[in-house]
Amino acid sequence: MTPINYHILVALGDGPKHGYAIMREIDERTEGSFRVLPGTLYSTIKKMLAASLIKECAPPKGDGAVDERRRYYRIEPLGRRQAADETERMAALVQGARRKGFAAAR
Amino acid sequence: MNLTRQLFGVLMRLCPRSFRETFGKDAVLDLVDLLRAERRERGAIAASTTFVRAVIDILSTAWRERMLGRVRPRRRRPRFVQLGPSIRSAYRNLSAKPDFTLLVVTVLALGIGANSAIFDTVYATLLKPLPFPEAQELVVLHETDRARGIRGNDVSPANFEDWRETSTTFRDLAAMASTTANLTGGHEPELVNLLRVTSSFLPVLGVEPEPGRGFAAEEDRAGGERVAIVTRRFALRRFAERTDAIGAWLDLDGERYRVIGIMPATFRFPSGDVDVLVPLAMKQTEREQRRSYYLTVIGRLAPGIPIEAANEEMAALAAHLEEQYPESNAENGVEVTGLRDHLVGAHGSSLLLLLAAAGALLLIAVVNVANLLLARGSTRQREIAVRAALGESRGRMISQLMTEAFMLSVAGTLGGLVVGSWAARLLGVLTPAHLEPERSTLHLATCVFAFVLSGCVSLGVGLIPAVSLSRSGLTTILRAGGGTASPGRGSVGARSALVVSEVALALVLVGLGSITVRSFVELMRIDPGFRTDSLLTMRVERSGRTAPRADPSQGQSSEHHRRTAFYSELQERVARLPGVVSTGVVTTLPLTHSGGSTGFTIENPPFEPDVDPIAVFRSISPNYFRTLGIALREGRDFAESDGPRTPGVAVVNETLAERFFSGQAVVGRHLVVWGERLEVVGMVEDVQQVSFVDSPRPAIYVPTAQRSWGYFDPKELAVRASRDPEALAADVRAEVWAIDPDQPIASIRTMESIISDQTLEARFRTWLLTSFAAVALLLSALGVYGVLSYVVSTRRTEIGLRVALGAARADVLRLVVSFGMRLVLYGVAIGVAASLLLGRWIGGLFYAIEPSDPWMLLAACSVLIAVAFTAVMLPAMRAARMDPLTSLRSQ
Repeated sequence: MTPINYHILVALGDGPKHGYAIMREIDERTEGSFRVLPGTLYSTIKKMLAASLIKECAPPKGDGAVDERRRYYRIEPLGRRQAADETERMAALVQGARRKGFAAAR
Repeated sequence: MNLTRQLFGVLMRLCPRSFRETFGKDAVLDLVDLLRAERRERGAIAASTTFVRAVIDILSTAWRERMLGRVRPRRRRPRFVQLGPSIRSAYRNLSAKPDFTLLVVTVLALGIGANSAIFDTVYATLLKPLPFPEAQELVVLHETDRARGIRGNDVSPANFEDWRETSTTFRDLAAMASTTANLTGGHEPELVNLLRVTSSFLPVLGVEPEPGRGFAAEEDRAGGERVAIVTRRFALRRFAERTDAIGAWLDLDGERYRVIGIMPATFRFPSGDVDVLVPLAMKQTEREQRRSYYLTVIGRLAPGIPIEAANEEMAALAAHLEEQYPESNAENGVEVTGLRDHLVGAHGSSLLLLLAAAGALLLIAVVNVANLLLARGSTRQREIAVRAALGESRGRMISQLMTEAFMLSVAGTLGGLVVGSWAARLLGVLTPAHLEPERSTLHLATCVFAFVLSGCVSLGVGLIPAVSLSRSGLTTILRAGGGTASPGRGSVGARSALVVSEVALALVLVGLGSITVRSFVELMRIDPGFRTDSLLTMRVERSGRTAPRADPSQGQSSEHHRRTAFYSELQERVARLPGVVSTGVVTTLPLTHSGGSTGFTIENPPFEPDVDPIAVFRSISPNYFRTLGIALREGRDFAESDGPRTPGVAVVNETLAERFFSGQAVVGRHLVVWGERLEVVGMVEDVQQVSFVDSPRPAIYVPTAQRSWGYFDPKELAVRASRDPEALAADVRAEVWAIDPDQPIASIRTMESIISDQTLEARFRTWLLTSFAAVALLLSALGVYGVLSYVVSTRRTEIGLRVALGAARADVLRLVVSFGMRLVLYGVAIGVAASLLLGRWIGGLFYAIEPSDPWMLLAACSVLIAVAFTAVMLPAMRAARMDPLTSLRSQ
């Protein structure tokens, strides 16, 4: 799984979002170290839609900040499973590396 | 941001349709939001970087998406896919000749820089949204006077009230009047710029004080509570800490005002120098005035109402008022103008002209660079021929050459943005001050503009050489039999066309340059009617508590008496200062601002004037004419003896005498102003009252000692010095404060600096267009020289043969010169036609000269032909001196 796919899945983890919200979420969560721009974002979204990892959906109701102009996406069960697997895999990797003494210098 | 949106919209079109239809709209929305957020949170530079990255991101996405559909079915490499090697080899080629690369990049950087800087100014003036919500609904309303042909007049209070009550095409109307007030109670007395506004003013503009509140309707009535809103600029200056400003008191002209709000820093309307806003609070008598015009009226159109509808409605309304009040409203109309048009005024067309001139300069630069690339290309003919012979496709070769052009133009653009941001600061002069505060960075839109420009430049620079070179590939090398390739006719043809267009463009620019210079010389030649050197001026306005208005025991005359006493004491004291020749006071000095006019009548007029006469009106002290150096033509000057107890007297100017007495003796006649009978005792020469380019208007001067003329009472002091006037300023100020420490003093300046400010824009424009013309001349001469040298070098064999067979040197010279000059003359002919067309379009932009002035055009042609002739002669002489043996042996 490529980093951008992973980031998009994680961004959709807590509910449907539109493209711009996904971009902002990734930017904020990674503190600007991983940035996605619209071209790349939507071409990735297109692939993920085709692979049934995510799905387009109606804008969420009841939420104050709904933008009617935009398309919303939600995560599919397959996408959630893959993201969970990926998280486990990376956690295992990190754990293994830590045990060998790799840690960020403080 | 609109521009950004459009640009991204265009870029999205590069993506396949299916992708665009699904995601295009969202992507553009996201980009606009992203850039806006970026600009807000990280500043303009970060936003520009993101902008560039976003453009690249879209381009590469478009590429990938398109390739996705194409690569799969036929497993063939697309033609342009190998960008990497192209870029690497372009980089190798360019860095192999650093001087050439540097020259090209510099030329392009200057061209793109000049364009970006001017575009930035155009954007700030003409394109950038005004800082008000739904600004396109905002309009300005003026009265017009058909009989006198006056447009853009201010509005009388009674008409304003009627308009506001009756009109239906506006959401609301508001009125304002600019004035000044003496602010006392601080450390130093200060003259502040006051804006008196109706309570509807801020709601109409759609802005609110922050913190604080706007004016309530009951505060806008005579006798209402005295409240004030201050601008951020003033609050920072006066209160430093802005929180305690609300509720503070201001002593303006002796009245106490409570501060109820602070305007945000972005508020700069009608100009950036407003300090305090107070309610207009007109008295009943004021509300009924129909014949004094001093309100500026703005309005907000009702939703969906076009400005034409408002104009129609107001025209009908004006006609109705004309019927109802024939004595005041006869021949009065109304004009509704969009707020931006009103603010930009004549600046717009002048700016667009500069942008067009800069564009022409860039075109010349591009043509020159294309020529340079062609010339360099001809030395690379062998490489290209060999590559063609080895089976490289034409598309591949074009892409190689285009990559070089693209890299050059990107480097040029980056340099251009640096040049541009520096130049834009200089160009700040050209932005009307109320449209934008000073900036230090370019607008985002300008960066977009520069990169779009860069795309066009790389096409222009690269395509011609690329196509013409790759066409001459294989056949040429075969024909030349492996020696130095001599290019086909096509290549010379392409170059000749480039030179012709270059010369034509240069002629247009040189013509424009000579017209501006000529117009500027005319402007400088204007006689303002007075001596402008060694004159110190300042505003010393008596009012407020220093000259109490309501003194029941003595009434108005007491206030007038005090004012007169103040000014005569001040003049006496200043006249005693060393280096002072004489002093005078006046309502407003010439060339500072309009100052005001008044209507008058003539006793026993020699003929009945068509319209009620109006004259510029000035109340002056006896030494005023002497101090300014205004010559007395007939009769006498005012004397100390013209006092309140002697009969009223006046001095008129030549234009008044000419217009209303048609040259008959004017001294001894009588005028009636404000019901007061005045004997004309003298006539003086005309002075330029409002601006340099104003045609002279009738003027009446009255002695200030005789009576108070309200608004027209003196406010400004002029001091004629025998030494440096600026050095006198401190002494004069000390004398003012010696009489009254609470007296504010403002605008201390020399007359020369006032004039220099008035002509600043003209001077700057002249300088800019002249330098454009000079650079255009130089570049086109270089172009002509380059092409001719090239032609001579390719025809060495032919020339050598001719000389060997007995042709005289003069024949060779004639051959080359006639070829070169033919190109130049074609260019000149096209340039003349273009200049004449342009002249029709820009008529009226220049003072005292028609843009298609034949003499100026002739001068421009001669200069250009002379320079071009020199450029032609150099290679021609070289050809004529050529030794036939050497040139034949080189084959």
